[in-house]
Amino acid sequence: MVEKEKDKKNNPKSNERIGVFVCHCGHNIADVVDVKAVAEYAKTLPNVEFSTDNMFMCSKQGIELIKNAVKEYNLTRTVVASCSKTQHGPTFARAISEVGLNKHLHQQVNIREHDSWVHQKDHVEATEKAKQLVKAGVNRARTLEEVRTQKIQITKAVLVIGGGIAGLRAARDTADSGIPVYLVERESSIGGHMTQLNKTFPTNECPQCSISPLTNAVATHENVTLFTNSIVSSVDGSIGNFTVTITTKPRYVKSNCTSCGECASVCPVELPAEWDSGMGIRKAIYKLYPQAIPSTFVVDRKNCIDCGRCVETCPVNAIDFSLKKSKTKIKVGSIIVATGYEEYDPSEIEAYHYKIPGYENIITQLQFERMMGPTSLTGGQLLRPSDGRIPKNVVIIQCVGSRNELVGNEYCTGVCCMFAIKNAGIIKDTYPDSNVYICYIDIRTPGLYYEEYYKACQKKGVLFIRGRPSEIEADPENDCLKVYVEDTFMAEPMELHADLVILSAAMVAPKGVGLLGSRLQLLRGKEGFIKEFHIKMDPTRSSRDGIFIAGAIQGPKDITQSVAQGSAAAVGAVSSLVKGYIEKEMIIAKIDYDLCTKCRACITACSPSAILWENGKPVVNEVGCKGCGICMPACPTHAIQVINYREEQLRDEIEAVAHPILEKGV
Amino acid sequence: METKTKKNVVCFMCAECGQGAANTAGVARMQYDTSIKIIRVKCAGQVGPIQIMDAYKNGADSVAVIGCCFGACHFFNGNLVSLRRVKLLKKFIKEMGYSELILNQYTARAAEGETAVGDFEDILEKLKQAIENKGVLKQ
Amino acid sequence: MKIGIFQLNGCTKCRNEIINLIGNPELIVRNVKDYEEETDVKLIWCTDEYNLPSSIDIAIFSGYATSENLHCLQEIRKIANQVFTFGSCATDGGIFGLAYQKGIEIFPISKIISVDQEIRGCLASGDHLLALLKDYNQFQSEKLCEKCPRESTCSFLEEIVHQIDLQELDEKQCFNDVGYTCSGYIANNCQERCIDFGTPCRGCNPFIDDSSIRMLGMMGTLMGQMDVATEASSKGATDKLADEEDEISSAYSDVVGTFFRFTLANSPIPPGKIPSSGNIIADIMVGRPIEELPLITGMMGGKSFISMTIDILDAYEKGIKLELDNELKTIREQLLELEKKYKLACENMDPNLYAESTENIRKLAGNMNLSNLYFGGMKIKLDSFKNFDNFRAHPIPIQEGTYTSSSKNVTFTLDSRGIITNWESKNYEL
Repeated sequence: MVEKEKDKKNNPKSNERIGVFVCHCGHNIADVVDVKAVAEYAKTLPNVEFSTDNMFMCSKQGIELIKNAVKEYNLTRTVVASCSKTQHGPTFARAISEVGLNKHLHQQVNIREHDSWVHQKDHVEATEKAKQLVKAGVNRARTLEEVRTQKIQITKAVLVIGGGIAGLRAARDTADSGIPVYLVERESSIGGHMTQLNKTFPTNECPQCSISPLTNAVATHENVTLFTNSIVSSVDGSIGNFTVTITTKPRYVKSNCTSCGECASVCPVELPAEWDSGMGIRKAIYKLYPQAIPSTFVVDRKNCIDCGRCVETCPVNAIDFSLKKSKTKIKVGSIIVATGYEEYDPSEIEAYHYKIPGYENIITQLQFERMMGPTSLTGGQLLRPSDGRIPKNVVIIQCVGSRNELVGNEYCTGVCCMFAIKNAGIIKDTYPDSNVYICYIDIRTPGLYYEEYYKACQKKGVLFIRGRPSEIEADPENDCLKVYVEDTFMAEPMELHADLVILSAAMVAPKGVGLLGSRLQLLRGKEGFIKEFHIKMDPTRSSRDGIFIAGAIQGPKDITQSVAQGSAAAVGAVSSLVKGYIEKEMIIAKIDYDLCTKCRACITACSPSAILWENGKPVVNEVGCKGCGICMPACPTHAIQVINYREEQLRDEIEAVAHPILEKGV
Repeated sequence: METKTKKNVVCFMCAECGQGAANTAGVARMQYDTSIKIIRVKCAGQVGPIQIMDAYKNGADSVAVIGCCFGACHFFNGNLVSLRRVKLLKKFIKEMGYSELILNQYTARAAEGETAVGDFEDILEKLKQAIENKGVLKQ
Repeated sequence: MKIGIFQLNGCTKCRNEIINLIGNPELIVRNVKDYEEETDVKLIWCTDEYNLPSSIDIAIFSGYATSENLHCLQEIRKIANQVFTFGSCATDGGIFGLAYQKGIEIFPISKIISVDQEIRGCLASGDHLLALLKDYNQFQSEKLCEKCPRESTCSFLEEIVHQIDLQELDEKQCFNDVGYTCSGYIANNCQERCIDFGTPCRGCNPFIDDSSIRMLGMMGTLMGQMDVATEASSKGATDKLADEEDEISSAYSDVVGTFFRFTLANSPIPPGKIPSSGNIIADIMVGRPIEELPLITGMMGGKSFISMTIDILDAYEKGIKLELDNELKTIREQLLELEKKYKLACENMDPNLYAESTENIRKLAGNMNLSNLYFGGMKIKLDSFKNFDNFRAHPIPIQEGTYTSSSKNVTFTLDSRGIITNWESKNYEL
């Protein structure tokens, strides 16, 4: 009783009436903990008006017990000492909400998983510990605050950023569920990297044939609005209600273009085609590739010489140089980011001399794909860029820009092994006389049919050398390249004479992702890719509610994985929209502006970026805040506090728990 | 009745992996010392030096912060943010001439109870060392 | 109304600041308990072994308490209607509280007797006290950080910079954004404003409890972005963490001195276990980095704060063979002369001389904490400097060794990280 008086003194203002219910959980708790003693002890705690024990608190009878006690004793807080908060916390919270209390006024104390089950041999101490935990629970319950649940109306529309394979899949699946989709693509056509490929592993299928049903379906879908040649220039708001500005560069060709191609045939400007990775030529008026969607031509104004021949030639007068940059403001409920990857530029690795004059016969895998494509300059033949000769010896180098600490990429891209195996096989199939070497560190072929594909390639006679080449040197005398590599199995330095070298360059985060990431306020890993919310359980959610990620922007992926993640992201984006509203329990951070020094540490600390700088002070975005509390220790003046996890509230609990419990009486 | 106080450890465990692992340990009936007492917090990132010092002030011999594995924080990076603070506070405790073994941070995996129990055993072992070196805060 | 002024242990600078109030026509008291009307004030300087008057209305304490003062403090509490603490030492233990790290029991007054009003600051502000006495209820303070001309972005820290690396700062650039640790976030408005003289705030005047621990939490959070290598522990149960040092946290070579400079004795941790040398000044200094020394002595040096600081500067400058500019030498000589005047003013309780000497010290050294003084030069250009560019402070190297001042008053030893490992000084008059 002495203790009670003392505690009352510490909490002079509290008028709360607390009910404590201690559960036997059959034998589970009662066999170890003296539940009656715990319930009796609870009666001595300040503000406890009612305390009892019961066989099964979660049974119907137990629930009725809580409800009746709340009504009879006019309880304002309940504490149930039983199992974990995740197991039956919601059950009891619902019970008190049925008799008119806010469900957040329930405090769950775990004396089963954290006590009786783990201290089965020590009944006395386990009982003492249970008393302490109940005391902590009562302390905590005393200061619990009501938390409101807010219904947030949302906009039924989804923005998909990136028209590659992952974005297309996500857009298609979202649109099919009846939700409007805005698809934004930076290039003039959708399709992404997949359309650049010649064949896909492990079936050597034509990628164009696989993807075009999807591109067509998306482009003609009634629920899809397509923005090509466009970027996302600003994003405001939070889950359910984002306002997005899309900036569209003019194509200078109107949509009545019939894609006849007359304009390109008269255009005098010839440029290396980006889509062909420099392996083809385009005009200043062009479309990305023959099957491009939308098929409307586009003018490259930077390189256009204003000769006007295309304007004269166009049979439908579609070319109009007066078109201007336009901005479109849209409202969406969720955003899917699927901006894909970029091929690593190997010129950073000086020893390989990529792009150096005299080393024209070093190409990357994507360039190889473009050269072998049916519409390429070489007509699908493998020819040396320097002299157009068919190479006799081809060396493929793996892990260029990946698994390499020197260039800052420690990760394995994961797809280049299969990529190289596929292309080596294709060379052997097309030119059986050639010698193809793959210099690798490890060959990684996880997944169904991948290892089989590797074996098949070995059978074709491709030679695998385990070692990372140290240097590529030009040998003008023999008109070839010398690749220096140590075969680590034989521990033997080798000098390979190559007519053509293909670099398996890594997949890296695209250059623009930093800017986009800041506009969306998403966190990125040190590799530059956008980070998923949880590496195992939530690979498609980003650090911010309502924004999802799909495909290679999250990390290197092959087509299969990207498509799967696209679908998964679509489900995530749609699921919060179908109801038309979201319900959020407002356990969120609150700022006391009397204490706030406007230092912005909370803004820096907040990983979901839910604290914004508005009118000279930090403001918590109530919808975006997840209530994690990372901002709390960041605040030097304890101005920012999370409801029900306030410093004082935690302190009440710590005070009770930190006291040592007594050892067995002697 | 003669009584004596025993070791006293406060573990701040996050509501996700930390609590998950402790609950899994309970379900599997793994046994550990009664001196381990768990406080549920939303995220390891919520536990600041203030909470840790509060625990010491109220009688804790050793304090630990237990969160999700790195890269797997359910609130993104709370465990990492917490780690630096713990390191800094450890440094403070060391500079005051006490053992830094009385403050630790661990990770746990919700599906594996032994991660939590392993953490607890490690805490007690370190506390034992600290007591031997007279490095605990209580005289 | 009778106001008793009590000087406990430590330095007397705060008590001296009250000399400003002697004969001040503005010193009238309003709205203090039992004195709702304007009241005349009588200051009683209780120096004589606490030969206590029978009753006083307000007892103002400066300096820290030790266990020897317990009884005396309780006696004063009995006769005093109100108790004020004046200065960091009386309120939080102050810089002398750093000796708490070496196990010395140093008490803030509030740990012994109940305190009605706490006036923090090192040096505590006489104007603050005056304003408080003039109208107890109306007194309001403002936050240092909000009024700071520098603009904080508080982004994640890339590195920790020390004073000794002295970086060129933009007038608008926040110390913390550069990597210095500045505790201005938790500070009230202060009179000395070290931040105006190129010196980051160490938080002598916090407006919240546990300010040091909170600053530590904030800085720890801002160091949050890092990669962690994890390895399984011996039991294979968890990731091994937090044991090994990393770049950023090891950059804080003195957490105690950086974050707890004024509040260590008031922190929840028990007295430290670092061995004491028996000399309280040595206990304060050992463990501190060299670059912080002049800032510490400038604050806690009592009546000798200038000679003590210049002795330290001189010892190290001599040791690392730093050539000094002639104007700088003259300024230092002038400062030493001013210190004599300051001492005289304090001994004679002469408010006019006090005002004159402190004003002149501020003109040369920036403030009464001598924030502008630094190894080899001055940090910020003041109006009184002619050829400032000749003695602008520059980064100086850290050299292991033992250093003695020309006056032979101070000898200290540095280790390779620039941390004081040994300190000897003659008895300065504090």
